[in-house]
Amino acid sequence: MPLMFDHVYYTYDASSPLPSKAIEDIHFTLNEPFFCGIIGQTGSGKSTLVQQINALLRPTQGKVIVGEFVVDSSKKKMKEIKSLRKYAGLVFQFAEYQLFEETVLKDVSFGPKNFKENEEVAVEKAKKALKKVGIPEEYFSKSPFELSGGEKRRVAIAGLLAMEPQILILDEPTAGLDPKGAQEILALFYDLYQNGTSILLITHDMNVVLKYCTSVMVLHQGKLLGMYSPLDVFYQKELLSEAEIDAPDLICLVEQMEKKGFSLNRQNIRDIESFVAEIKKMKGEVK
Amino acid sequence: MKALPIGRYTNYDTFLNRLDARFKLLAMILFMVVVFIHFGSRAMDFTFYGLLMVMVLVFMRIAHIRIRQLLRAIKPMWFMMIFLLIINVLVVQTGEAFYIGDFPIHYDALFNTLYTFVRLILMLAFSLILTATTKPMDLTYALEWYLHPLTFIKVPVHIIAMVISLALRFIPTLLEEADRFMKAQASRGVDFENGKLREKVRAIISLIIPLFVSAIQRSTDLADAMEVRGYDPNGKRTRYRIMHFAKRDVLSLFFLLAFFGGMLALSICGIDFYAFIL
Ligand SMILES: Nc1ncnc2c1ncn2[C@@H]1O[C@H](COP(=O)(O)OP(=O)(O)OP(=O)(O)O)[C@@H](O)[C@H]1O
Ligand SMILES: [Mg+2]
Repeated sequence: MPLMFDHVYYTYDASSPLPSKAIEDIHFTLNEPFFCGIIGQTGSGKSTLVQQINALLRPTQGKVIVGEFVVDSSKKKMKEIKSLRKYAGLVFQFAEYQLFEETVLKDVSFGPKNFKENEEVAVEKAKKALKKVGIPEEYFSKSPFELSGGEKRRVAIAGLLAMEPQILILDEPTAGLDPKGAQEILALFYDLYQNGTSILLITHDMNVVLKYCTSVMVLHQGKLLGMYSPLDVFYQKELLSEAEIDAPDLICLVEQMEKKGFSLNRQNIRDIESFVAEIKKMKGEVK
Repeated sequence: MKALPIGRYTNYDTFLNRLDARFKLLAMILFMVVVFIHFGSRAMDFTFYGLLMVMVLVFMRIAHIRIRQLLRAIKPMWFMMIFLLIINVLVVQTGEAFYIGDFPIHYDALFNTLYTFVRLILMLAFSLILTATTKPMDLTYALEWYLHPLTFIKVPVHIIAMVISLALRFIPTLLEEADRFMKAQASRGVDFENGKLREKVRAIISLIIPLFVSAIQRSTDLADAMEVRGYDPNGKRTRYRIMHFAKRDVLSLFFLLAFFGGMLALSICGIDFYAFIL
């Protein structure tokens, strides 16, 4: 099923004396399952864009089609809003602050319970989700406020995983995590993607985009500059400078090597491992 | 923010914005006094309420405040007003009455409610005008200036002012945060609008606890940050911005005092224009 934005505009405080346009004329279609990255400078409208998807913000103009749900500018309350929020789960920037229950396990099962799962199923789902994000069992009965920042973040992510959304939207989920922890979490998202969940990932880490994403949206000052393949986008110097984004080091290295006369297959290079493999292949050819 | 009951400061360069905060604070207090005093008769009262309302509208026009903002501030009060009306009708049993069936409804009850209603609107309007045209910091400075004499009886005026200004400073932050937590919990399936009482309570808890935790966290962080930079609550402080009374403040003060004096005189003498006319 598609995720579709049909010329969506959103203005904060539209009726106040100080309205501020956050996104303008966003138009795209993504077919599920996708692993789509959203990149752009601070303030380019990434968080605003994703909040239209589960109707936390309703477009000032235009409409969003999420599976079988339609989010538009009408003031009416959406009847299916709960089902929509179960279908498209959103993990916020700094999600660790949303924890509030007495224990980790209770907090994670809070989501499924809200969607009318019975107690046992909810707890089961919570346990599964906590295992996935790598929270060991002895933490289940701890208070979420006793955990470290990184652990809290994992618990918060588990809180949405337990709802088993069809589209999982993540707003900078790895900001502030240690590199190893970040890698683990990203590998988890990739695993979910391969099992059919669609992932929409806001990130400032271009290496992540290059490595995992199947497509990437570039935002600049509230406008969508385009939807690209991550293997193309980082070679487009003009686009990057317009969006004020730096290409990952690996891409710069590949470009430098190409300048020096090496011929590499760009389409194969997504991370260090694939780069090394490509170099090895080249060595084989030379021999 | 949508839910803010009083006006958010808007940075227009109007006459009201330029007036000294100390004057505006005094003006608001005096206007509120006028709102609460009684004149010779009911007709007089409502005449002057009308006059005040016209003044309010003029001020709002000058300060670029829309009527809608005022209406929005009044909106939450409807319920209270209806409740008050019912209580009044049941309790007030004096004066003339008309009957619905056998049930007497006294005019006094209706007027009591109307008085409260009009006064509330006027008070809200004056505070809206004050907060929309005065920076919160300037208001605190003004307050500190008025409280200054209390330092002689060892009241820690400066500390109080600092606490107030910090609290004011963090209102928007807290509201922003509440908005964020609401969205985060809504994403987890919390419904803040519908649901049975039990669900409502849980919804509120899921909002309050993170808010408290982060507010406490924030305040300890802030205290540390202030201490690290050498803040001493008992130290003598100088000020970056010094407030000066300008000519317009003095002139405005003159008009204000004349208006207030006139009102007070009318009230005390209990003069009723309508008695002369009729
Ligand atoms: N609650 C709000 N009220 C008013 N304006 C807002 C609000 N939230 C965001 N904005 C404005 O909308 C624009 C887009 O903000 P948004 O949060 O979507 O950016 P972002 O791309 O997510 O940035 P970041 O990378 O820093 O998270 C910004 O200019 C911001 O000032
Ligand atoms: Mg953001």
